[in-house]
Amino acid sequence: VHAGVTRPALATLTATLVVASGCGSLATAPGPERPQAAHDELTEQAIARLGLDEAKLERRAAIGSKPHGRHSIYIAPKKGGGACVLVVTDDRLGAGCNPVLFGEHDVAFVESSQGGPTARATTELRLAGVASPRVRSLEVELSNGLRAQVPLTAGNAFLYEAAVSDLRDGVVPAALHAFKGGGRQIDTIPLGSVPPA
Amino acid sequence: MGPTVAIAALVWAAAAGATVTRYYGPAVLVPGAGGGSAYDTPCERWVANDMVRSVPSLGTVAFVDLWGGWHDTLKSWGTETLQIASRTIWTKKAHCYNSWSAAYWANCSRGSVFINTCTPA
Repeated sequence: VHAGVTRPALATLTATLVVASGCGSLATAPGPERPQAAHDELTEQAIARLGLDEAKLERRAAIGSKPHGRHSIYIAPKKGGGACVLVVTDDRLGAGCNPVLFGEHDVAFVESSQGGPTARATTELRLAGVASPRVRSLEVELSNGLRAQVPLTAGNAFLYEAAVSDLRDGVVPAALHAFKGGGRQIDTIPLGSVPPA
Repeated sequence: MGPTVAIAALVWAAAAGATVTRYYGPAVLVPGAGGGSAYDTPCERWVANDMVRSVPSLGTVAFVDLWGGWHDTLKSWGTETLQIASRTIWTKKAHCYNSWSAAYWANCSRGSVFINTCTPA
């Protein structure tokens, strides 16, 4: 069932798409076919779709630069209960929500990627999110067993970008490890499976 | 557990006031299994992909091209994973996938925008 597009931001996005698309052609792959949407436009859509409490939207960090752009990392409670972590770039927004942001784990994150589904077919991969206040350091464990430190910002936010050379070899993040002061490990989050080749 | 997932999806649709259609569930997804939508069209493009789960877990959403390649893939821990993309003028279907180690109930929806000046395929 399709309803009308009533949100101003979504209407603006639609109008932009119409102008930029040259509609009628059957494009077959993603490409830079339109101007980049603003962070605010995507964030407004997410606030509406997820029922976030906009007054309590809190930006924890803006990390990254060209070629992949700035990643703004937010946390926000939902009006109906629960909370989300949001990662916004110029052209997409990812959100992960849970009844309790740091319920089962000390890290709230999203993993965004392009070019899968298999590890070797993946061309870009980033992990971004926020760690709980008791986390002092963070490591990503790769599928080849190596580990990499992931810097935390003052707001305990982070961004990890997988090396292209690792992705070419089919090496992807396998787990996140969180440590509190003194280097004691307090959490491990397995990052799950990827579909078979 | 299923109705809880369904209600969450309805709340999402009402809040957005946009075009939202469920393409999978409520149904059980076992580890490694997924559900997919139809392909979008030149006149209606998928822009959002949302997966709501019955228990805190790992879930993945992606847009899949005509050759099976994944784009705008997003994985997160919790009970909901949402991706909104603004580069949308390419042919895709929405897909949601259980990337966790146990089965859960899932409800997957895609949001779309209508392209006013399109030529139907």
